[in-house]
Amino acid sequence: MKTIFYASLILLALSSCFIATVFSDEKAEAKVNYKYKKYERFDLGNLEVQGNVIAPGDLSVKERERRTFNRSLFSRGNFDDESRKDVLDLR
Amino acid sequence: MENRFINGPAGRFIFLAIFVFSFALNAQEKDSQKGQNTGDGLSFQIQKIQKLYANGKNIKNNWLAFELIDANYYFAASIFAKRHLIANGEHNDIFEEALEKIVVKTGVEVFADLPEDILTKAKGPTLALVLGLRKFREKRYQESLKALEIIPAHHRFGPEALLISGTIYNLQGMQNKAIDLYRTCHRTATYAANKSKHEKLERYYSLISEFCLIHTARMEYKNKQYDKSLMLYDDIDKNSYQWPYILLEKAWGQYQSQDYNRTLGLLVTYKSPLLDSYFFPEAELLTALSYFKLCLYDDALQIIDNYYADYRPKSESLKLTLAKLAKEKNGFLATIFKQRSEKEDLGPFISKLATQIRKEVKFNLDLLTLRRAQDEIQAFNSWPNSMVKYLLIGEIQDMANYLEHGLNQYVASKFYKFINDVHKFSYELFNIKLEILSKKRGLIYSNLKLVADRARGSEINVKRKSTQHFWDFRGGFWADELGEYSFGLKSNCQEIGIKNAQGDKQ
Repeated sequence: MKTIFYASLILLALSSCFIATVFSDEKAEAKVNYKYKKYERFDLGNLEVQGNVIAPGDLSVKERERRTFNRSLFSRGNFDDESRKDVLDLR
Repeated sequence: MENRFINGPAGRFIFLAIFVFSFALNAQEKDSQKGQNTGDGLSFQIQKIQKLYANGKNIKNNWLAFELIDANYYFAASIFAKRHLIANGEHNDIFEEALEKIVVKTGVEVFADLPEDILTKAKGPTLALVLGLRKFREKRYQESLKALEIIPAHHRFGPEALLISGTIYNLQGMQNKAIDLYRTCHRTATYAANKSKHEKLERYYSLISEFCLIHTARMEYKNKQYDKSLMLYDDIDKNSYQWPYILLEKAWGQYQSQDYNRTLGLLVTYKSPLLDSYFFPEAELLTALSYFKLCLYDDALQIIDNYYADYRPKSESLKLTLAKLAKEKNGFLATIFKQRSEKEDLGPFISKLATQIRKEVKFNLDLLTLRRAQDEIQAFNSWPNSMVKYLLIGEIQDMANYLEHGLNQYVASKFYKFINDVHKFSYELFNIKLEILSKKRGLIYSNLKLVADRARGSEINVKRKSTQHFWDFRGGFWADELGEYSFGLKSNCQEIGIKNAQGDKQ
C-alpha cells in the first residue's frame, strides 16, 4: 500500500515537472525577437540578368501633327417628328 | 272651265292662301331646324325626337341621328349614330353621309370610344378615316394604310387620307410611293380648297395642301437634295399659318447648302415684331452654328452667352410656374384665356407661348369643337324634362370634359416641350462653346490667327440664285422683306501666321 502511495507521488511529481517544462518552453518561444537590417543597399547597375534581348535597343517616336478631336455638333437629319405631328394635329 | 277658275278671284284667293300657308310652313321648318322653342309650344323637331326616343325598345337610332343632324345637334346625333353602328354594323349611303356631317362638325374624337371591331366591320370612308388615324397614332402603320386605302382620292376626306398614307410611306423610307401620294394629295386638296364655299373648309383643304408640299420638301431635305427642298419651301405663301414654322426648316436647308449668310438672314426674321411670339431655341442654336462655320467665333460665343443669360433662368422660372398650374384643374388651358398682363405676371415666356398656341390650327379647331359641345348642352337645358334630355346632356357633358381635358394636355405639352427644347439645345450650345475654345487653343499652339478679328458685311459676300433677287425695298411694304434677308459676312476661316515683334512671320 505504501509502495503504491510513493509510486503515485513520484508520478505526480514527474508529471508536474513535465507540465512546467512545456509551459516554460512556450513562454521562451513567444519572446523571440526578429531583427532586420536597418540599412541595405542594392546596386541595380551591378545586377546581372541572364537572357536574350529581343526589344530594339533605341526608343524612337514618330513625329506627327497634334491630333484635334472634333465634337459632333448638332445637325438636323430629318423632320420626321414634325411630319408625324402635322398629321396628328390636323384635327 | 279650269282656266276660268284659276284666273278668277277664287283662283287668286287660293293661290294667295297657298302662298301664305307655304310661307308659314317654311318659317316653322326653319325654327324647328334651329331646335328652338317657337312661342309657347315646343318645336316640332324636339317633339319628334322625344317621341322617337319614347318608343322604348323599338328606338330607331339612325332616325334619331338624322333628326338631330337636321336640328344641328351633331354631338347628340353622334350618340345615336354610334348606337346604330354597334347594333347594325354595316350601313347605307344615307347614313354614311350623316356620319360625314358629324365628323366634319365635331371631329373624329366623338367616335374615339367605338370598339375596333365595329370600326373595321362598318365599311365606309368616314369610319375608315377614324380607324386609320387611330392606327397612325398607335404607330401601327400597316393597319392604318389598310384602313385608309378604301377612301377615294376625290372623297371629302380623300386629301387627308392621302396625307396620312404619304406620311406613313415617308416615315418608312418608301420615298417614291410617298412622293406620288403627296403629289396627288397636293393636287386634290388645292382643287377642293378652290371649290369650297365655306371659309373653314377652304382653310382645312389649304392646310392639307401645304402640308403635302412641306412634307415633300422635308423628304428632299432628308435625301440631302437641299436645292430641291428649298424650291418646294418657296411655294408656301407668306400668308400661310405654317410659314413662320418653315422659316427654321428653310434655314436648315441653307445651312446644309453651306450658305450661312442666308441661314442667318432667315433666322433674323424671327426678330421682327410681327413674329415676336415665334421664338425657338433651335433657331438660336442654328445661328451659333452658322457663325461657327464662318469662323466668327466671338459672334457665336456672344449668341451662346446671351442664350445662357436669357433662356435658361427664364425656363427655370417657367418650370416652377408650370408645376403650380399642373395642380389646378385645366390650369394650362385657363392660362391661355387670361389677360396679357395676368399672363406676364405668371412668368416669363407664358404670354408669348400662349399667343403662339392660340394661332395654331389644332388648338382653334379643338376649341371650336368644345364650344359647339357646350352650346348643345345649353340648348338641351332649355328642353322640358324628359329621359332623352338627361341622356343627351350627360353624354355630351362627358364628351365636352374629354375635349377640355385634351386641350389642357395639348397646351401643357407645348409648354413642357419648350422647356425640354431649352435644355436640349443648351447642351448642344455648350458643345459648340467647347469646340470654339478648342479651335482657339489650336490656333495659339500653332502660332496662327484668323484673318480678321471681326467680319464686316458686304454685298459681294451674298450668294444669289436665279430665283433670288436683290430687293432694295424702297417704297415697298415693310412686311414683304420678311424671310428675304441675307447677311453679307465674309468667311473668317483663313488662318495666317502671327508676326513676331520684329515683324517676321513665324
